[in-house]
Amino acid sequence: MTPPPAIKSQPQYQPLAFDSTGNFHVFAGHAEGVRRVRKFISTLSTPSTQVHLVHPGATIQETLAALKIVLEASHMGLRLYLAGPEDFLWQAARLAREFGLSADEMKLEHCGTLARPVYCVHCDHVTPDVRTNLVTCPGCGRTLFVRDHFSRHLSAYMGFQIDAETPGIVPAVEEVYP
Amino acid sequence: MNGEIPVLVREVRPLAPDIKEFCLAREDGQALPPFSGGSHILVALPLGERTHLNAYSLTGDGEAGDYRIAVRREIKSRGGSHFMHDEVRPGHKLCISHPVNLFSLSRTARHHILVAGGIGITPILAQVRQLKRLGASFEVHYAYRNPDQGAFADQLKDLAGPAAHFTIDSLGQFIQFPALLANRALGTHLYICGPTGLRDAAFTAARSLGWPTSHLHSEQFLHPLKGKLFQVSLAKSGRELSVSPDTSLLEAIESAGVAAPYLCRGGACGQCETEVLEAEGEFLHHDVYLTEAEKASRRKIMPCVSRFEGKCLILNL
Repeated sequence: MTPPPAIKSQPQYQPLAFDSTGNFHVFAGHAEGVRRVRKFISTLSTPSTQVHLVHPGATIQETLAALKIVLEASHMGLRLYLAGPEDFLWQAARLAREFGLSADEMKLEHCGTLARPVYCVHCDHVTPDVRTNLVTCPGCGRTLFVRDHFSRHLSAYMGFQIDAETPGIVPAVEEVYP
Repeated sequence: MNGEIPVLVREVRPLAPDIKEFCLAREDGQALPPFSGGSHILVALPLGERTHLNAYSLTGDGEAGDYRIAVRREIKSRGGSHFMHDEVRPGHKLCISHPVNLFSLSRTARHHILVAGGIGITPILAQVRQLKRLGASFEVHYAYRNPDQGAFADQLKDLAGPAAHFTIDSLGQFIQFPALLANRALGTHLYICGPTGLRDAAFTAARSLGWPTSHLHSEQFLHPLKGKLFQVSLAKSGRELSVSPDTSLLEAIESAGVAAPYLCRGGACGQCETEVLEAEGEFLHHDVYLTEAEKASRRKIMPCVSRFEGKCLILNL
């Protein structure tokens, strides 16, 4: 029995690979991604003036603030390498996009938890770090089903009310994104 | 042709010794369709036994209305530009295609650098108009041979003010791309339309500075190669054709009544990519679309601009 086709929007990840067409390489990681980028940098033979590791903060926000400072001082020729959970990857990618970086200037490697950021289509709230198939939206209280459909623009997976037609009747909660 | 529109030439204006501007309007008085900067139309030119389709960029601001194109009289020509210069007068009827844009502006760019060489100013002009309308950040560099060739320099000065820069070859001025493109803000895009040498210089400098391909845009209208007569077989339609020296492979296929897909007719867009079933001879690839590997594979050809020399060529058409 062949598995159903993956939803096209669901991100597919590759291990980090060095892009020698760039001339300044910026690395940023979170959680398990920190060790990943440090290890990757140690394998490079590129001059250290062309490589920069963004200081890993205690939180995603801290790391993003440090990344922003680097991007503000950078020019065309930069390549960005990101590793960590999806919450981090896509918030960092969105920040990079605001600076005008295109997909061929970024590499994303998913490390560690499968937890997802979930966007509530009813109230626009994004809930980070969701490990279950259902989540209660902190913005509006609805019980959301977490889909595989992903928006790069919103940097989150789609969540919609699971019991809109059958109020109160919801499936069992399972930890599907440990 | 894709979607023909019958038009009348409303006005013909000389812009330089060898450049004329043509203003085209619909015969029935309705507005021609709006378009985005960088778009071109195909104009059907009756040359001898066959109709040639020549691509010309639209120079206007994209609003629905009349179209303006500028045509340089080419020395080495298959007759299209000569026809436009020598035969076409106000009141002349022509058939044009709907606008097609293979050279559009990035909507996520934070700054646009536009470079025009010679008659390549035509799509750039429309892009400048669009960027002004959007209030976007841009600069434009116009390189031309000598002062009497600066057909659009005045228009560009009015449109772009200090954002416009001019270099004239005959005065020893040339665009220095490494300096122009160094230390540019993230999110800058480069657009260039002009001779191959200019484009190659620009892209070489950009790549060595680490610019990614997605930020490098160019428009080239390659002409079909002239060459020796060769034979081609079309497997699906069961036809045998001769491609004469000054006819492109695509034109020969069309003359035989076989409808082959196409779009730009200039070797850039990929729409006419044709599968080669069998080939004994040499491919003369003249496109900028196929990769080196694809060209070497002998399994693909772009009939709009490329040719073949040899004993046998069978296409899956």
